[in-house]
Amino acid sequence: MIDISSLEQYFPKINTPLTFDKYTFTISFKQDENIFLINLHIKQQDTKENHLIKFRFGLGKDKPQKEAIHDTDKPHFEIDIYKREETASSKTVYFTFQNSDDKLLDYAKGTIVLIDKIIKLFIIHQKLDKYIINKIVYDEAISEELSEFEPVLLDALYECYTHSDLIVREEGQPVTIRTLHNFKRYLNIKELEPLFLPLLDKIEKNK
Amino acid sequence: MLYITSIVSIGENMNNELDKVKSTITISLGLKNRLRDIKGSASYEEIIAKLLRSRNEVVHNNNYIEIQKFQRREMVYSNEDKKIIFSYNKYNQSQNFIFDIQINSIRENGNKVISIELLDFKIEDKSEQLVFGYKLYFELLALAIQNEIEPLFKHKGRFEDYYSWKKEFENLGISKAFENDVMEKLNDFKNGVHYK
Repeated sequence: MIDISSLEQYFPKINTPLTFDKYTFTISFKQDENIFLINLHIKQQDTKENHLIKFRFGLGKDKPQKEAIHDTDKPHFEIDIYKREETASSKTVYFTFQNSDDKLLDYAKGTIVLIDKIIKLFIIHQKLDKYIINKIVYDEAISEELSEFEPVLLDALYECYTHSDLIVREEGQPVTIRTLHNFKRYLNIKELEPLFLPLLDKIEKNK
Repeated sequence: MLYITSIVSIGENMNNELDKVKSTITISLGLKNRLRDIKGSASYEEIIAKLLRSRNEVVHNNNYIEIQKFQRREMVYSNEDKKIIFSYNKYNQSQNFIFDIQINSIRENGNKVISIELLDFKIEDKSEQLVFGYKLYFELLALAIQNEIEPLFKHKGRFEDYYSWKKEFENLGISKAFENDVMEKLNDFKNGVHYK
């Protein structure tokens, strides 16, 4: 099991919701004997407007869950984006790492780099004040000290992608598709660009 | 040949309305004995669910990307002279389903009211005002569940009792909705954030 406590140094506050304008950012760290979690949550306050975004991104290992169809007690990378506009949609990415115990800390560091990039991009897209970045993440320290771990994580995620199913559920019934065209069509989400673009690049190079 | 009863199919399409129906499959006595040998103290249902999970792992190493589009449904909740017009996601049979209750408008005696906070102005006690909004929210949630999944659904106990909600949502097969539709709101309630 990895010890993620040293990674707390890259965040001013963990496990504390930080609200700026109508968005709440939370960096979650959780660890006990058999589980760990590093997550970024972004949640828009529901002000009864027609649009709402909720966002969860991170790495973890949970307790076994009897009702789950996947093994939650294996280290995994998970993204959840929920958007409500005229209609609502959700996108979930769930990748499980196999035989990865010796690399998990590197993946965790790579996750922090992506969290940093995603927060910065989110702030730009939502036209929030840039000064808030350093209230959520220590951007410079992350860029200087952890950048080398981003490609390690992306390689691992690419490996997962090559063994993944893309399930599209529009009217209740799931349809499983596996084409690059659909990967682009469904996952080209602006909030996910720091992950999507390098992953897409890898997929296209290895086609 | 032997019948094994009460096996619920748990696989790609788990937790739909069929999962609530007891069913029977026919397998040979030899296979049934081998299943019994490996299952230990688990039920047949649990061991078959575990085998399906292992199968999923072999097929795609527990990796998936799921995209869902939800249709929004509108409903009216009536209570004495108040009408709450709210919307939520139409149920689909995914583990990733959430309701996402949204209040669209409120009427009291036919007049539009801007927010829930204006409904509870007669309540002097601040903490009771807070309770009012969340009590209403969980009534809307129960109504959406009754309309979409289980007509006889009734939450057991007070709305603050997350343990009952957890059990109830597990039984309905919507664990993710528990995190989003129940725990998020209960955390807001605990933190004194007024429901709008």
